[in-house]
Amino acid sequence: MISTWRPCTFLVYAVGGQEKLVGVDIGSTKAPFTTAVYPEIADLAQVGDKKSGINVEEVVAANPDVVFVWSGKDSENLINQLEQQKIPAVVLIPESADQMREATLLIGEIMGCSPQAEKILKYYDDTLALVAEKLKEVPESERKKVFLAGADGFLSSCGTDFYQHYLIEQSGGINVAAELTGGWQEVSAEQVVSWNPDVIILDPYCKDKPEDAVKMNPGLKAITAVQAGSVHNFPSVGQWTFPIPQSAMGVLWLSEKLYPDLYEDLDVAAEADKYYKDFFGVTYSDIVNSASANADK
Amino acid sequence: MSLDVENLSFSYGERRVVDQCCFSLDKGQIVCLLGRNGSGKTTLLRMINRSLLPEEGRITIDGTDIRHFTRKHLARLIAFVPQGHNAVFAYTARDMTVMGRNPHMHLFARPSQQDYQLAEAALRQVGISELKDRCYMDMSGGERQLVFLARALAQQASYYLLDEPTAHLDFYNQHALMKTLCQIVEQQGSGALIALHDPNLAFCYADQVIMLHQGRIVSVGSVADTMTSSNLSQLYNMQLKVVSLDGQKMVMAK
Amino acid sequence: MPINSSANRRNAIRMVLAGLAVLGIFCLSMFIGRYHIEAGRLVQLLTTAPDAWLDHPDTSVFYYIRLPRIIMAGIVGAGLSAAGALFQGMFRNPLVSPDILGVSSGCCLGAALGIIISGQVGMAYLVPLLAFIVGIIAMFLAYGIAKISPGDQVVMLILAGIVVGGFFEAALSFIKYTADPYEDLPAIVFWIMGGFFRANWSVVLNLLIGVLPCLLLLHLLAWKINILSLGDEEAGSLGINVKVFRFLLLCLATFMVAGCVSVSGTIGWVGLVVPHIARLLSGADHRYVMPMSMLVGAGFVMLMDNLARGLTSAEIPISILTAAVGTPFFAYLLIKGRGQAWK
Repeated sequence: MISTWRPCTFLVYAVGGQEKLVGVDIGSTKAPFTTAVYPEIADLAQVGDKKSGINVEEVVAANPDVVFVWSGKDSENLINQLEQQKIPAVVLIPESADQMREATLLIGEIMGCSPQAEKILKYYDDTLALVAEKLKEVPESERKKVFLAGADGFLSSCGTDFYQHYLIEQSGGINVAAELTGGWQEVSAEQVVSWNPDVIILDPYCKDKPEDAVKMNPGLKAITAVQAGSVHNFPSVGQWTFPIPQSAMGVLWLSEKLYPDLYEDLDVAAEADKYYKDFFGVTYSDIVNSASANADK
Repeated sequence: MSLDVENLSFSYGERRVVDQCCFSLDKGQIVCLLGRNGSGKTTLLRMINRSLLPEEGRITIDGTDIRHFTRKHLARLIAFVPQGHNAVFAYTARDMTVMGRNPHMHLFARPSQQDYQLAEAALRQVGISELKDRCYMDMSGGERQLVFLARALAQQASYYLLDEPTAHLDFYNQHALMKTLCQIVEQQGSGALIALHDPNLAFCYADQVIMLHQGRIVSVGSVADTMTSSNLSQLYNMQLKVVSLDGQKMVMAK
Repeated sequence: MPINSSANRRNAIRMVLAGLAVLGIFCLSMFIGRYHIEAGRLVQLLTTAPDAWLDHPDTSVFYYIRLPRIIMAGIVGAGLSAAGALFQGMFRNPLVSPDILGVSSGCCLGAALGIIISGQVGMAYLVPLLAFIVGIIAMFLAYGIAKISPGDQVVMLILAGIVVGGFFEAALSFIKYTADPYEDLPAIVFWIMGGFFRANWSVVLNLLIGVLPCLLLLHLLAWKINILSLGDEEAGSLGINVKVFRFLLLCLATFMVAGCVSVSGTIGWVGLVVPHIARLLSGADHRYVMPMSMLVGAGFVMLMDNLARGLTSAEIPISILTAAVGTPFFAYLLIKGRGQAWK
């Protein structure tokens, strides 16, 4: 099997099919999660990535049985070429939670890992149900407003088109930027102040530091979140903002940050370690540690 | 065959630069156009060359208005030697000269052996044969002028229009060029209309003279008739005297 | 051409050498690719009949992925370079590239529209078609604006081209802003980046039919371009109907550029730098510059694409490579006084 873009590779790992991979996208050969769980991934054929394209010759050379391709008009050419080369391609559209479930089951089926696929999805559903149950104690009026600083910089966010919105909702927050459409959109500092979020979360791909943003726009100091210091970096190693079953951890993490009182009986960090150990053989803390060890190199 | 200019006028915006000019250019004659800077000499030449369209009047060759000729046909009748040239590409003198053969070539043609021979002959006649492989941009202003003359020569046209061709030439070359022109006119039987800044050259080489003052022709005719002290003084707005030395007339500033 | 001139003989030899070099690069390119084919095996493949091409991954990769791509790179390289040489001569300006009339911006806009309009099927035809059409429209718009503006036509054309290009760029930005972030936007961004990964035989055939005749015509008209490069007035005095001829050449070049860009996206620096290289090798005479530009362009782009598809396992966007080579070389040209072809 070949996975041509990183979220899909994470899905493959989710169902436990990583050893069947013969080729992956370049990013996955270096990502902390993928390398910690299955170090041999670094030796697999690298076929390219979504941004700069997939090298078809590389794909054919790896001699796969199936190639997973993303859905979108930019993959049409690739699919045609694969077809011509008589290589089966499976197009996946995991963007929403339901699509993600479907995609996970499909991959599980193709790779012969259906049991794990079902198991990890059950964990996903159970976790979301757990969080929903806890949230029953929080009335609508006390729900926290969340601003997710996005990939285009501190002053950018996303609305309902992106999975991140779903995460925020599931964790009990209110996405102040819900009305945005068209993916990551830039917003003015004034707009953020007017939304006045209670909590600010920085997407793993947001490159700006909050201190710098506030320095550039002192007006941001008026925001509740800034004054209370409720600015958090969304953990990056697990890629919990991708539409993948592992994102259940993301929901848990965020919910705890929003409503710490609800989670006094649950150690989220320990839960994450257990989850990763069970499904992937490595604890979450180990992955984080190896990531920072590699970053220091 | 004659080139006739009838009531030619041109204005740049409000300013009338050429006003109701009439004259004829016959073959076998050198006609010199005299006048101060800004008197309209260049504009007049450009109209005859059809680079500018006259506001009033017309230009005919053998009775046919030149507006009715194709560019190619016109180029076979009239050859223009420009005053200045903004050189951008490094063509050799030979390649520049052979471009004069274009009016005789069809759309996809390239210069033939014969065309090159004519070009080299033109360069010889003009006296810069040894420069034929030199890049024309590396030449002095005067040498470049000679290349343009050779190019015009290669056109084998009936009429030559030259805009102050002697402007950048040294004393020797000024006369050499005019002598060459005389030879060409004599041999080919073509006509030449030359805008000159130096009236003495007109004395030496012109058959006819046209005096242009503020866009109007104030005098036209033979050298003897037109180039009098009073005419010249009025034309150049200074005290001038025509004197004769050893049978050669010339004009001096008083 | 008088063969007794040493300059002409030298140019002829260089032309032959360039032709051989391009042939050599073409052959070399066949051996390059991430899918490893033994040299001996490759030679063997060359004798396979077309109906057997799909029988084995070796032949299917070679004949359906690699070979059309090499040919496409060569043709696009030649086309962009020839257009660049023409525009530089026509506009008497060494800093002019084929994008000058906004054709590339138009093609990008057309492609973006095509991507948005098309469903999952039909993109393969709609996108290059719309790219081509809007590219041509850009040229006519620029030409029309220049025609009704007073002043030197050449200067007006350049300015109108900048205006039209700017307008289409703005429209493109707007489309990117409103495009669907999952389906359309990545595809649009990806298309604009440019590259030859879309190569297949139908594209190659279209390029051959569309671009080769244009190249031939430009070559035949090369001498007239010399005269046109003297300036409107002088060219007119020498018997060229400048308005008509310039329009004809513009149409030819635009047809060629739009044809290339509509299938390969924008590939920068080729049309700007290659004609300069050609002039360094063969002087200013367009009879040599034109064919030399085509040869050098074809070879250069084929080489760059070899790097793009073979250097690493990912595809390196080719514009990055052409810029990486093109910009320092252009700086070198500027420092050295832009070669002897300009003063």
